[in-house]
Amino acid sequence: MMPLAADTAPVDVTLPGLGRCLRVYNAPEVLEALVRAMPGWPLRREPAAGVSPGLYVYRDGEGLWQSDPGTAEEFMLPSSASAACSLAADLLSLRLEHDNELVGLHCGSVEIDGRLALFPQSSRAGKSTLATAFAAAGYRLFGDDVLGLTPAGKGMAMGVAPRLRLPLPTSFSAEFADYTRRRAGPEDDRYRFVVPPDGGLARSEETRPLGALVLLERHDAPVAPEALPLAPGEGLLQLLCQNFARETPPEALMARFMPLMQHLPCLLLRYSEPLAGARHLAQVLERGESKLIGKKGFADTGPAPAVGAAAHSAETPAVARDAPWKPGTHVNVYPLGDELFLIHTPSGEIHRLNLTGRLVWQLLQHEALTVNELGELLADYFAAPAGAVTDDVATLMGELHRAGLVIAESSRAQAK
Amino acid sequence: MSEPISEHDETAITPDLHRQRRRRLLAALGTGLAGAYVAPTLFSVGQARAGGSYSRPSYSRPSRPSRYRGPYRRERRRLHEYEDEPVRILEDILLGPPRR
Repeated sequence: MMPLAADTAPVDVTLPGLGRCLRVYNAPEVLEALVRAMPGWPLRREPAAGVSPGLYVYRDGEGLWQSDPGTAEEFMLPSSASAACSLAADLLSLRLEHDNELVGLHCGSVEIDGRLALFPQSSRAGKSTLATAFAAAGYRLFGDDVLGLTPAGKGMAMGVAPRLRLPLPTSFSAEFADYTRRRAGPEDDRYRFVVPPDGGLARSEETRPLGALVLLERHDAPVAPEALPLAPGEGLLQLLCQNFARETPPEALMARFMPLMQHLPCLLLRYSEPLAGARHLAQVLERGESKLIGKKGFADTGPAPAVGAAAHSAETPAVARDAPWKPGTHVNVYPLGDELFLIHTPSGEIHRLNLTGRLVWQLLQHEALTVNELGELLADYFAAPAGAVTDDVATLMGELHRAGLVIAESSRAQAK
Repeated sequence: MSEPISEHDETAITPDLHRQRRRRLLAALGTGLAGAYVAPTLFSVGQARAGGSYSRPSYSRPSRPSRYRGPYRRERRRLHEYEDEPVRILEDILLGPPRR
């Protein structure tokens, strides 16, 4: 095998909440980068002893190598900054695995008026940039990528500095770009950690109550920042999708998220320049405007994420329109705002019904009904064309049936 | 005194009664809800999604926090060592890891 250089003694890293979790061989620069990237999660170094933890990093004649947790492989790292980035992510994963009570949320988080605003989004949606912009605006960060959710519904910091992808877009304001340069931590040509000043980043295990859930709509073209109310179902959906609790049953996730979404304002932040967006959102939340704009009706967020729409009808199995249907027996129901969330317990699949779908479901809970009966009822109620409404109901019923959420009622007499 | 309803009359009016009852139920369920008709929709979490104005979740839950993953990979060297020479595990435990 290829020998490793023997310039420095191997070191074991111990972290609060994790214990001994990382071995570093002959790569002190990686250790220094990690310390700078995790100012709120202070690590302790000790001479290596015993069998190496599963997570390790070393330098040999070819370069820097890190073990890939859960595999029998190692991968090469181009720089100590990338190593810090990779190791911080793996240490966060270990931290979440280590504490069964914490649900890891994939979100940016910032403290505003003693409460946390959360931005749960998928990768590359702007979480880190907005989190860093909040830091530039003088707000205290709880994280740019991971937040722990405690059983009490509070957000728990992890103590890792935000990390931006480079190069920064030229559309960022000079003020923001300058902040990221002044507060630059470990960086290479791909990533830059931005380290807030003392007190600007919450320490690991610090908690705060949640204050708002914010979905991001980032525009490339300049737009004036605005915050618009969203239906709470949008926030719940985001939480259900942007978490790291892959082993947690959906019912348990619902039990954690539903109480939050029943009182937490859910907003859409539309913005182009991050610093302007951060300042605008902070102003809205500091003034309590999120409660006011919530009363004006929800934002039009584009076409509903539906499978019952006509565009999908070709894929929808046809159902008999004159046969009665009733709810399946293995379905848990969670009302939120005007909508319903359903969990099909045998499969663990989560489904969301909009307002009209919710009415259909509630009617079926009282008695088994046919597609024709439902179509007639809804058309009459909404003063809409009966044919089109019945077609919509048939599409919906096909999807409900395919998902195992409704079953045919064979016992009901047809001649009511 | 009203006339008793014949069996024939009862079957004739029952559908109307059902309709009226359902309409009342629907009116009660819909109390306070917004007016215009929107097609009923079912959205299943986990499906791919088209459209939408903001960045929606990918619906495949992230397995771990965002991190760098390089393209150059190889089998773990230390695992190799242990597989090749199991006594190294004991040596590492008893004597501490060697400087390699």
